Amino acid sequence: MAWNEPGGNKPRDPWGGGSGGKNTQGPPDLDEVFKNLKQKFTGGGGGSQGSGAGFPKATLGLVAALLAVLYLFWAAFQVDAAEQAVVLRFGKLHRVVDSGLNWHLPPFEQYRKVNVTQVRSHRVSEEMLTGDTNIVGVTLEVQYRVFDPEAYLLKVANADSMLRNATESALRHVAGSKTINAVLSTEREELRVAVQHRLQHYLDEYSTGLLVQAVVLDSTEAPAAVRDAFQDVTRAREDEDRFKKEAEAYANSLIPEARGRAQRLREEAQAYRAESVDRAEGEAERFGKLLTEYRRAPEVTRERLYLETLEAVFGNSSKVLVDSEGSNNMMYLPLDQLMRERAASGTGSNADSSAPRAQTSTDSPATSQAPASRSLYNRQREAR
Amino acid sequence: MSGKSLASLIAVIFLGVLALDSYYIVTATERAVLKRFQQIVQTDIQPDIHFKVPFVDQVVRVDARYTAYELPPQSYLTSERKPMDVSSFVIWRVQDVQRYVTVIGGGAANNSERMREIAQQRLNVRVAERLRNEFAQKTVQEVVAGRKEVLADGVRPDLVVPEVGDGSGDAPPPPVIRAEDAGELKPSEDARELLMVNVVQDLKDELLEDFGIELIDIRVKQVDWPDEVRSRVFDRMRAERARDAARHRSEGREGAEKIRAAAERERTVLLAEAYRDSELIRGDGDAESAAIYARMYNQDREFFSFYRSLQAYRHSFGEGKDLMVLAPDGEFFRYLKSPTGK
Repeated sequence: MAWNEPGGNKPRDPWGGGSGGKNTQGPPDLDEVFKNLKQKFTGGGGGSQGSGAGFPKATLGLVAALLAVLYLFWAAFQVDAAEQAVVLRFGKLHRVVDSGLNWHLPPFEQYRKVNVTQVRSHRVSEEMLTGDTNIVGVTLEVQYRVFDPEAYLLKVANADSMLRNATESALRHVAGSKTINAVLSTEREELRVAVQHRLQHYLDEYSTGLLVQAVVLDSTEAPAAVRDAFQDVTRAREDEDRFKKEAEAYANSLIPEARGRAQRLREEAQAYRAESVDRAEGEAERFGKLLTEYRRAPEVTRERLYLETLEAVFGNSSKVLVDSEGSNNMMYLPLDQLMRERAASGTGSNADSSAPRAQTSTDSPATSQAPASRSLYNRQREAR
Repeated sequence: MSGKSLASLIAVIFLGVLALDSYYIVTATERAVLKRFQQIVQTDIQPDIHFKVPFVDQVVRVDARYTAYELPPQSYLTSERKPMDVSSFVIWRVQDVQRYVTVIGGGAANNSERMREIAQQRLNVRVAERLRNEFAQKTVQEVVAGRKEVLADGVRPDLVVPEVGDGSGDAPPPPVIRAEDAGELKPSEDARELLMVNVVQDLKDELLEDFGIELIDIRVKQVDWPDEVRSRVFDRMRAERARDAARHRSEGREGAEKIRAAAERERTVLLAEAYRDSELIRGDGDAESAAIYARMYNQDREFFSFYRSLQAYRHSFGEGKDLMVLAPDGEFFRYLKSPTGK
């Protein structure tokens, strides 16, 4: 009944006398009461018309001041730095106040405080169906705070319960729009963002006054019952990769080697060509020089060359001269024996070194190499 | 203590109580109706300070905030006659206060909490019934994913394992759509949104009419297989994964084989081309040298024959391994028999 106090006249200002009629008889009533009380205690039968005659003014003032101070205590309230408060006057939203010392006018005003900076969190960990009718487990945390105290305090009955429900609905909606592989790996970020948008949309639609600051996707995993199978797919992917890498390694060793061999074939062919041409030029040139001299003295040169050649040939081999003229047809030549003896005696060393005129000898060391290089080349051809 | 002062004290108290009961405040979260002898004389009273006849008028306050009501999980059958465990929630608030108080609070306590409980029981019945009807017209795919087709990760449709049934229904498996071809569903195409919109539209007028309740939203939360089907779903998932794993491994082998074959082909081609080139080059060499020989030797055919024959003799014999059986005639032995060569 504090509004009946003299100090209580202060709050009448805001309502501009709208309800003044209610309180007019307040102060006289009170005087009556005090008077009666005083009479009770003092035993004096003072009339009610005394109007404070036996009642000291000081006491009355003291009481009034005390009541005023009490009212001030009642009217003051503190709002924490993290909070905001709404003040309702006659039940209607009148103002939103920030932190610090604030005043309101009870009982016609009331205030409600709410923390607007503290981030609250709601965790969901559930299994749900995906768009390919598989089951997937998702764990996520919604971090949210109150950003509109008016809506949070006045428009919704249970904002936090709405957030819980809306989170679950949004999450399942988004998970249902994706395949299990997308949820597990490729589209986790898209899932997180989509859940956040959808959830915020719901919260706005229901005037919760809540703001989703973040959706943290802790984990998406296959249900325990089928986790092995999923891990095997991961291993299979790695196998796939490994098989290809191994094949690439093989290819990487094969090709350069082949290129090397190809290059060798070409180089050898080039060498052969150069060699053939050079040899031909050399031999032809040599023949040409000899021919020039031969034309100057054909007979002698021919004779000499012939004799020198035969000399070399016969000098280097065993001979059996048989004068068939006038001899009988039955002649026994123990050829195999002769051959054996020759092999044992070790004769037949090359007599080229003893040839006195080597510069005109028809023997050329290169000719003995030509078949060798050819045969080498043929060996390679057969090897392929 | 005189009777007079006692009377005045009583009068004061009475007047105070009278004053207290002659006004009331409706706060921002509420709406109210004023009843006089159980009859509603004022309705939809907005937040403010209001006056009433003390002791006669009775204020009934109603919580007018948005409220979330969670329906208990229920089992619904889809159009394929498959049971799904569904939980959902409803967002509602009181709009027509008079109807609400009359119907919901009729005769019962004029207590806001109690009225809300009753209202939510009513909501539960109506919403569950509508949802049941809606679910019965939608496939599992539609209520889970919002679309008729099964999403799949770039899998050939013929490889998709047929969907798990509940044993009774044998609906054909739904067609498959590749995830990469499936765009985001517009709300107007999303069966889940449509389901909700249908139910809300269906119920909105009815609930307002019957209970004075405004239906803001209905959302399905869980749509899950019942436990007995879950194990079969897991079996299918395992089968799908095994298939995927096999596919990955065999594709890996395929890729590896292709890489090896290509490498070997390349090697063969490289060598063959090199062989071709080398033969060409050798041919060039042969041709050039032949031309050189021919140019020179053609100057004197006869002498070339002689010269080359001598060379040939020299190379054919004279290795020391030969045994020659000769008749001592011919140019070489001309002087062996006589000094005159005759």
